[in-house]
Amino acid sequence: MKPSTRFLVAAAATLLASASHAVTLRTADQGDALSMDPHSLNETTQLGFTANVYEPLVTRDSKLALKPALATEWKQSSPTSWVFTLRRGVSFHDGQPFTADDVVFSFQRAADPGSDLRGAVSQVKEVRKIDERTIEIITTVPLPIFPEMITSLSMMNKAWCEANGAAKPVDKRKGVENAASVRANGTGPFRLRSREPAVRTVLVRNQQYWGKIEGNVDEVVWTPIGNDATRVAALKSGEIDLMQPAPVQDVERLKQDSNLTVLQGPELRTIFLGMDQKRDELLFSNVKGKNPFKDRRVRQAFFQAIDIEAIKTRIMRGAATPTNLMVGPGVNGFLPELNKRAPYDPEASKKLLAEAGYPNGFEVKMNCPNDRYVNDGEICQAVAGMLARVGVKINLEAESKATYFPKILSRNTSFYLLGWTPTTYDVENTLYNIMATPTGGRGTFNLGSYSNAKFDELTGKIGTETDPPKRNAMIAEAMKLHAEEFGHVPLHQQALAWAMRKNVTIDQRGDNIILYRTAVVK
Amino acid sequence: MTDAVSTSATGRFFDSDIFYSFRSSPVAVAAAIVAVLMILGSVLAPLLAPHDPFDLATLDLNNSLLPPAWVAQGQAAFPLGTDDQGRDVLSTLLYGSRISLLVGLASVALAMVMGVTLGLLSGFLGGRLDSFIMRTADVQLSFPAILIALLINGVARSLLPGNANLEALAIGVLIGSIALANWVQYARTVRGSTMVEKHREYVQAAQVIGVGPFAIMRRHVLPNVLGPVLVIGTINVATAIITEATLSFLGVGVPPTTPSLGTMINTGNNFLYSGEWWLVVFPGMALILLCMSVNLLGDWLRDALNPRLQ
Repeated sequence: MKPSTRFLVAAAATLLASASHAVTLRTADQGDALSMDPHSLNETTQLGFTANVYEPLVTRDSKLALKPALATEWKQSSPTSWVFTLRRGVSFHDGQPFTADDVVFSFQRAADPGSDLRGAVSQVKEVRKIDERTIEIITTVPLPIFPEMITSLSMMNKAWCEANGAAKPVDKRKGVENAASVRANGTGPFRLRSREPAVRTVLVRNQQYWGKIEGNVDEVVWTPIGNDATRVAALKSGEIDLMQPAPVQDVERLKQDSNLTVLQGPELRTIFLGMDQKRDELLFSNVKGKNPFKDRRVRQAFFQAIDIEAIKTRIMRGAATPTNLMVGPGVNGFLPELNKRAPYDPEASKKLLAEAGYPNGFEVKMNCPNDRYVNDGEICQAVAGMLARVGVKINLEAESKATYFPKILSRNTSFYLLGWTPTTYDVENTLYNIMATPTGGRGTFNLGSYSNAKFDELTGKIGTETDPPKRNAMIAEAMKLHAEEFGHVPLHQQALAWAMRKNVTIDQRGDNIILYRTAVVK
Repeated sequence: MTDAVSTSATGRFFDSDIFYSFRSSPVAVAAAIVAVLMILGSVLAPLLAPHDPFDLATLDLNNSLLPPAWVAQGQAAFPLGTDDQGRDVLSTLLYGSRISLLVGLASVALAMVMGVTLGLLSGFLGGRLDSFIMRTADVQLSFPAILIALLINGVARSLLPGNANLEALAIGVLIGSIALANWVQYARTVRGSTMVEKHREYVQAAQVIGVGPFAIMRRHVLPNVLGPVLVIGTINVATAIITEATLSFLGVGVPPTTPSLGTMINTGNNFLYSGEWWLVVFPGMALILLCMSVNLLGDWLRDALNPRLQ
């Protein structure tokens, strides 16, 4: 046989084999990935899904340790500069090679005002192409954990983005879309075959992938199923193979089902409540002319009115760890000695409200997603009930994250529930994004604009300090400051639970990202 | 002297054909009893219900998911058990059916007013107005009512100012969207009858003596076209209640803090596989009973008012 014929036969054989044994993984999540653009929304469901299609320079393995992806090696060449060597032989799904220009482009794209990942690159001063395989990144301040900071920053193809009018990410807050919201051209182990928002998104294995794909899945069909019972029914009946999250109320029964496996573990996500502390008058309250949340006593009253144990046992069925800190165990910089909540005390809460000038409470609207976090809508209802007992009337607006995120990300809220996983697994990420005063890339998700100059100063220093004891002392100081001022009301770290059919195995990760490349369907 | 016939209004009603037909239809009587009981239950909810489920301050999360009183671990204070927030299911049923009935009745009334007005104008005035109204109706009829209600509900919500009190407005928005989704039937029926009536002698007589078209429509035509409208209205109450339940089930109806029957079923649905059956069974049964009784009454009314069936 001539080589070309041999190749053809082999190709035909492969095609036949894959046609007859195409392995499909059908998976369901409680909500949809809202866009296919990896720069448009910094949310785990979203970035977790696109992480199958797009790749960053540096990624994390299933134990969450750093691992090379599109960069093979990196080093800090000076306190404020990092050099990355790019992987050879990588091509995008449309066949174009991955080059240094794409890296420069992706960093610029992520820094665009329409990007939701600005926080990750806001301290990047310049991205310089040294040669085709080398990139130098200059930062404004020394960033010892810079590689950790860019693990969710996906690389996109410059030519493809420009040709498709997607050179800039669209702002999810404004509800606009472009070609990159519905199509994708990454370097990852899966390529996007079809996308029907909120209905079905199909990925197929990238046969040209540069690395080894550990699992055997050829096709992934992702369906958002918001209703808990419907999702459980779909899994039990075999309509889907994997679901996330397994509803906490069903976990025990699912475990008893001999056809299913349930994977449980701690998640790094902290669920908390935030309050608008910036406006002089709340947007959605009956208090006029002043903002009750500016008063620390009111925030403390809210904190102490919440019976966190009841939420844990009744709503989360034990699958939550109450917290006083905005980060949980497992995050670098978590300080157990500070993790002590002010006691649940409705009487004290009432007294604080009276001292602050609200003896009869007040009325405020609460924004809440009902398909994003585990039992989020139920938690909000319970919080509304607990606050009612100290006289605060909550007008609860619980809705799908598709309408919830645009609202709260444009800070159109007075009181809201949110969850946050620091993607760097370092407390600095939470301090910087969630707690520091919003300026530039800072405080992008500090939606209530908690602000304290001392805290901001510490955040800056923590970001650049390399000596662990010194750094921890500063973290402790910052955390204490925030806790004493009740800048947010932390609730708990939720536990993650995935349920799947017995014939499916997959790596479970503490960041709740599902990488289909690790899935094996027998 | 006609001594057998009483002259008081109630007397006349009890002697009427309608009441006779009602009395002799056991189904209608049973349906009426169920409907009246449920309506009384919901109207008198504040007096009957052991708790006020809409007063969040009285909820205790530690009482959540208690089974009905007769099951082990049930408590007498919560005869039908509690939901995931510690709300008494019985009280929530009573208060919740209040919302369901209010939305059902009000949206039918609103749809009726809209439909009858447009139908009268369309049938009586004819011309371009008629074509416009009827083509709009045709377009609307080609979509299921629930879709239209969802659409109107969504648009209305996004148009509402953000600081609006949603709890108060949600019910108004629901009523409006269900009414807007259902006016077509009334309009078509009334238009048909109006076109027949407007050629009758009494209408012509009124025109000859100089009565204006709007006065004729209101004083003369309207009373003669209302019969079928009442029948459609009664049957539609059940449909409207179901539409409300569906919207609330889908999470676009009333806020979760003031549950209606649909919201309760939605909550219960999350617990279908975890054993808390009372969360979905009781509100489900209440919804079925309510809709079935109203529907059966509507069926009976249709037969009773139809001269061809007598």
